[in-house]
Amino acid sequence: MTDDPIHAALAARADQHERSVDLALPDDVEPAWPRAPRPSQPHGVPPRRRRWSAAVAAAAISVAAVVGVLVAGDDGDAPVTSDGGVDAGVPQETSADPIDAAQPVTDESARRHLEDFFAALDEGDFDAAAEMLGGPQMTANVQAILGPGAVDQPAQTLERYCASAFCTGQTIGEVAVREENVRGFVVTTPIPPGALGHGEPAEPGVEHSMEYRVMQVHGGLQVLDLPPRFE
Amino acid sequence: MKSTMTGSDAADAETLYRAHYRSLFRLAAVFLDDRSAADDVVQEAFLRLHSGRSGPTGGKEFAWLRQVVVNGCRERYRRQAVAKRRTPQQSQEQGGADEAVLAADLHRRVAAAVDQLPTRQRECIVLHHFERLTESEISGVLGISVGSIKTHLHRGRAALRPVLEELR
Repeated sequence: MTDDPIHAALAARADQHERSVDLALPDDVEPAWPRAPRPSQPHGVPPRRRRWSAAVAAAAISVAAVVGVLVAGDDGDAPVTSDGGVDAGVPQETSADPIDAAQPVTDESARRHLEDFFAALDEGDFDAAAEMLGGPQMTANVQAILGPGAVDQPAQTLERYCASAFCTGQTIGEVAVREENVRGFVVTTPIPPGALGHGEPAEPGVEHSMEYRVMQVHGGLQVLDLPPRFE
Repeated sequence: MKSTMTGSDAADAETLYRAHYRSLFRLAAVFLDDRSAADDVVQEAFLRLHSGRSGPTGGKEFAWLRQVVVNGCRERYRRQAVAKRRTPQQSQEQGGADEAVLAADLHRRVAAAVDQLPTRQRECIVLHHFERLTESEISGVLGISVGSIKTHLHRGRAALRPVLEELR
């Protein structure tokens, strides 16, 4: 066993699969890339292209199934950004009712990012989920902000709220595709020192936490920020 | 691939393919443990590179391809995980006391343990231990902070510790 047993194990897997496929490009095929279809394939369609098409369709269906509710709704009046793009994530008017302010997510990269977010929550990887929604890509496209850092007892926190009138105890991913109009959860997250910026009390050793209430409303995500709590 | 590629574009595409397909395939195979799925993901990445959509500037094609492959593997893995939950899995344990067989079995168990990690931990473990990327390089691939990379690596290794102890 090498000094890195993890590398050895993963390399063994790569070796196993590499042995089972001919990675050498045929020299007499024009053009050489992508690889030419094998002669036995019917219909003259390269097998990889057929699988690629099927994979793309499956991916599209998968994304649609998870975030389908997020693109429902009328986005005919979606605001246009300065470069001509459609800004699907920022409400143009403030409203006392978050239902009116929520906007559907139509950007493909944002949809994919949201799918990753809910998958991370389903896996219990709350650090990854927080990272995804705390990054500039998410804040540029959607309204949901989860906050930085780890969640102390995320499963218990989410289950408590999932058992409330908002949710019904399903996984967060499943909650995302339910057809009801309103659901949400609250996450309490500790804040790393310096993350709050102005207003953060300079008291070393003091635990800071923030609560964000994330609601899925009419196909959009709306964050109802709660004031930070310093303990 | 679009037929509008020029002769020089096609030559560049072939050069990139010949230079990087093998390593990208190996990376995808580690993530997916499925030859045809790995092949598909890598093929899709090359197709995207040369389809005229948003892509890298000169000299950064490999890094871009690797990022696309990692993203593609993430999506594929998620679909595979759903399918596996719905399909009874047969045991892959093999008998025999042959040393090579035992080593191969231990490797499979470690790799299987990596498969069970949460997505981000798995990606960080594979990119660091298999691809030999630094934490900063992994940050560029996954688009998350170096601090998060450190956390994911730490937790991933901790989760793998029980199976790694069996190798000692």
